[in-house]
Amino acid sequence: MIQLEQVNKWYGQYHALIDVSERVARNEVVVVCGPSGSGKSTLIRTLNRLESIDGGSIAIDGRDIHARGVDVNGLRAGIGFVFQQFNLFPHLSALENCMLAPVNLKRASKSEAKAYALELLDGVGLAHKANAYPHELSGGQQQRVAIARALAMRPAIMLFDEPTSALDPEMVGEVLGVMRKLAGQGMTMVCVTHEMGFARDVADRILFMAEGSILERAAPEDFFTNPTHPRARQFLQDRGGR
Amino acid sequence: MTFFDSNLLLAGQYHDWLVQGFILSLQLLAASFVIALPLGVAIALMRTSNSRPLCAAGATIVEGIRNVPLLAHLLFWYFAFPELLPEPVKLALYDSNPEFICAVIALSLYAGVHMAEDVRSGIRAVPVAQMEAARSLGLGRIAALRLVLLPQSIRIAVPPLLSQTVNLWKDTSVATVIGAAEMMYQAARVETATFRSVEAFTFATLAYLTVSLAISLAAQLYARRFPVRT
Amino acid sequence: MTELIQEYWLYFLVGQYPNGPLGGLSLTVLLSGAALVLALPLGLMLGVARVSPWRALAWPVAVLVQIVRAVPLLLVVFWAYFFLPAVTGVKTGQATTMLMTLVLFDAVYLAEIVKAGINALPKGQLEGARSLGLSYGQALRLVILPQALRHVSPSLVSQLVATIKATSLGYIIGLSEVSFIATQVNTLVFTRAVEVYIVLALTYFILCFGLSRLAFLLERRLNRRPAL
Repeated sequence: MIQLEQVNKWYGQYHALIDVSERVARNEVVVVCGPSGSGKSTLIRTLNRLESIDGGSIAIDGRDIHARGVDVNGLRAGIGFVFQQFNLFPHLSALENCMLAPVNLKRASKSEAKAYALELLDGVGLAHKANAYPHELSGGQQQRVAIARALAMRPAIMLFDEPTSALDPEMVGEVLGVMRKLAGQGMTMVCVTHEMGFARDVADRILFMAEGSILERAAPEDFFTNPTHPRARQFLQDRGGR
Repeated sequence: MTFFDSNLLLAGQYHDWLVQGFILSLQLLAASFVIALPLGVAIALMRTSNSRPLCAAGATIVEGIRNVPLLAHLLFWYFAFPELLPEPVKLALYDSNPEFICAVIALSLYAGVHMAEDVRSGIRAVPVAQMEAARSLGLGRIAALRLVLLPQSIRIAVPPLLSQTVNLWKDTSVATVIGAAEMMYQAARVETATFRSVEAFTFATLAYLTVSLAISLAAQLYARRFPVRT
Repeated sequence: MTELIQEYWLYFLVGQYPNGPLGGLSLTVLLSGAALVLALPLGLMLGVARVSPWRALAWPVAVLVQIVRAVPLLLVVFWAYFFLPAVTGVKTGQATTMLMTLVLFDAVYLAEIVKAGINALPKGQLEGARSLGLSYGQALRLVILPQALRHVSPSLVSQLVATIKATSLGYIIGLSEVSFIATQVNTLVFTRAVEVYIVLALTYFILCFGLSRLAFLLERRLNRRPAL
C-alpha cells in the first residue's frame, strides 16, 4: 500500500534520509523506532508530503505521490496524521475540530459529519467532552480527540508521529489504548514511537532507524529478543530492554 | 511641458527653497532629538521607580501627551502657550524664531514620551534578578542602575529608539502647520509657485526616504554589532 | 472656559452641518472609523501576501510597506491632494483625499499587525489543518486567521487610536476636522487661545485614552484565556 523506493532527503549539507526503501502492506501495523535524530519523524512526514524529498519515490496505492498533477490536498485527506503536539484548533470545540475537514472538503453534510464525529469521539471515550474546548482537556484527552479528528476523514492509512511523547506518563495508556483498538480493527498504521510495550504487542513489523537509514527490519518477537544489527542491540540495551 | 523637469531640482530658486526646507527639517530633527532622548530616559525612570507619586506623575505625562495628536500640540505651543508667558518673554520669543522654537518644544515632548515607553520596555526586559545580584554585591541603588541595569536596558532599547527617531523625522513634516519653513512647507510653496507638484514632492519623498533608511540601517547595524545576550 | 464650550459646542461637534458638510469631532470619528473598516480587507490581503511562501507576491508588498512607512503621512496626503488630480483629472475633495490616504496608511499597518498575528501562531496549526487535506486558503480562512485576528484585537484598537490622531493632518489641506474647527473658534474669539486649545487637547485625550484602555482590557482578557 505504501511503497518507498530509494528515498533521499537533505537538509542543506545534512543527509537526513539515506536510500530508504520499504513496503507497508494493507492492514499492516509498522512501528518505526530508533535514537533521536535518526530521521524517523522526517520519514513519516514525507509520506503525506509535510516534508519534501530530494531523491527516490514514494507511492501510495500504486500512485507516485510526487507525480505532476497530484492533488496534495486529496492525498492528505486520505491519510490521517497524528502529531506529537496534538495541534488541535483551540478556537473550536472537540466536535468542531472533528467536523471541520469533512464539512469544508465537501465529504459530508453538516449533520452527517456531526453524527460521525460523535461516533468517533465515543470510540475514543470522549463523547461526553464533545463540546469542550482543547484548553479544557488534558493532554491525553486532546490527543484522543486528535486521533478522532484524523479518523473523521475516513482515511485508509493512519500515521502517528510520537503520539505519546508529549504526554505525562499516566495519560500515555489511554492514547495507546485507542491505537491498539484501531490496529485491532485492521487499520494500516505507521507509528513512530518510543513505547516498546505497544510495539511488542501490536506491531506486525518493527523498523529500526539510525542516522537516516533503516538498519533492521524484523517481526517484534525477533527484534526484541534477538536483534541482529549492533546499533539496534545498543539501542535496546540503553532502553533497558523495556 | 515636460512631465518631469529635473532641472527644477538641480539648480535655481526652487531648488534653493527645497534645500533650505530639507536643512530646516534636519535641524528640527536634531534639536528635538537632543531634548527628547534624555527626557524619555528621565520619564522612563520615573515610571519604573518605587515611589508611587513619581510613577503616577510619569504615567500622567505619558498618557496626556501621547493621546493628543502632534498637530494639536503644535497648535497649542504656537497659539496658546505664548499667551501664558510674561510680556517681555513673549516679545523675546516673537522676536527670535517662534515657529522653530515652538515646533521643537512640541516635537521633543511628543517624541520624548514615545521614547520613554521604549526605554521603559528596555528596563523591564532586564530580569529583576540582575538588580538583585548587583545589590547583593553591595552596590548602591544609583550605582546598580548605572552599571548593571541601564547598560543592558539601553542595548535592548536602541532598535525601538531608532525606530522612534524615524517617526520623529517624519513628524517634523507636521511643523508646517505653524508655518515652520521645513521640507513640506517649501514643497507646497514650490507647487503653488510653479504648479508642478511632481518635482517638488519627489524631492521631498527622496529626502525623507534617504534619512529614514539611513536611520533604519543604523538600527540594523547596531543590532548586529551589539546583539542582546541574556 | 464654560461659556466658551456653551457657545461653540455644537460647532465643535458637527462643524457647519446641516448648513454645510459635516465637520468637527463627528467628522474626525466618522473618518477614522470608516478608514479602519475599509482598510481591514486590504490590510488582510497585504498581511497574507507578506507571509506568503510565493516570493513574487511577498516581495513587492514588502517594498510597498517599507516605502509607505518611511515617508511622512502628510507627504502622502499632499501627493494625493495635489498630484493625483493633475494626473487623473478628477479633483477629489479634502474628506475623500484624507479617507483614501488613511485607508492606505491603515492597510499598511494592519498588514504588519496581521503578519505578526499569523506568525505568532504555532507552526503546528497550519500543519494540522493541511494534514487533514484542507488547502492553504481553507487553512488560512478556517484555522489561522480566526485565531490570529482574535489575538491582535488590542493592536487593532491601537490602530484606531493612531488613525484618529492622523485625521488631524486634514487641517493642513483645509479639512474641517476638529483641530481645524478649534482654530476657527480661536480666530473668532481671539483672546481665549489657551482655553480653546486645552479643550481640543482634552477632547482628543478622552477619546484616545478611552480607546487605549479598551485595548488594554482586551489584552488582559486575552491573556487570561489559556491557549486561545
